Amino acid sequence: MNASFRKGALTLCVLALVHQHDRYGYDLAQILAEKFHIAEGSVYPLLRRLTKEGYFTAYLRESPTGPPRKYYRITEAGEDYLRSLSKEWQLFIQSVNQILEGEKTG
Amino acid sequence: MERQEILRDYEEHFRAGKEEGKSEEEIVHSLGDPYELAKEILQDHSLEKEEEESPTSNLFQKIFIILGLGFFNLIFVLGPFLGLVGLLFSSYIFAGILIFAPVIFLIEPGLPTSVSEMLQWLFASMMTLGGGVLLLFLLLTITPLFYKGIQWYLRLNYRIIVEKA
Repeated sequence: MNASFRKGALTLCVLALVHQHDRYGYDLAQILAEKFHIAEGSVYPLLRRLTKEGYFTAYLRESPTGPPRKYYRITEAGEDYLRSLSKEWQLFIQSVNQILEGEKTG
Repeated sequence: MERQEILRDYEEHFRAGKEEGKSEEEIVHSLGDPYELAKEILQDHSLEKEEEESPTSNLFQKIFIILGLGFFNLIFVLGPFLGLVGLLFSSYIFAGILIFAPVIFLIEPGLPTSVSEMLQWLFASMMTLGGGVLLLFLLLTITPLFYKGIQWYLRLNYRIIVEKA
């Protein structure tokens, strides 16, 4: 799979997951590593990027077992970005599917 | 500052993994290739830097820096540099003369005609040959360092022009 394509998909997934509820890095890394075969470490640069661009805010929340964890919350800009990215994704998938189906019948 | 934050994130990752009962080795493995990770982080970092730069003053700044650097090099660096090159070059020649001096002695005062002249030639030759070889060794250690110094300075100039301007 193309690297930038992968990156785009990963960004979309992180946005969607944090949109469901606030999450911390390790949690996200586990989910994404399970679904896609990615290096868990690469989740953190992505989170930093999204935070820096104003799509997420980060805050510390006490953890029952140890020191506080850094949680990420989606901002309004992040929600807008999520909407536009998922729209792009749907269109993209549709086009791909159309071509795949065309190949099957034709 | 930023580096500390990045490290903090990974420390948290390790703690969370350990709480789940994973070994440090497993966690390291699942994080992925550290080299690739560092590349990604540095890439993000340099992209941010590029965005921070203002494009308007860039060209003038670049011209000023190149001109300034050129003048500085011409006035303060070129002279000492040529001097050092000359010193090295003449030292090599001097070392060569010292090493070949025993042969020259045979030609200039002539072949020794007596035992005392023979001994004189022998001792003089030992001294000049020893001195010449020593000097040559010294020069052979200094020259690569000098070469590295030049490379370092050129790279420094290049970095100043490419990154600061």
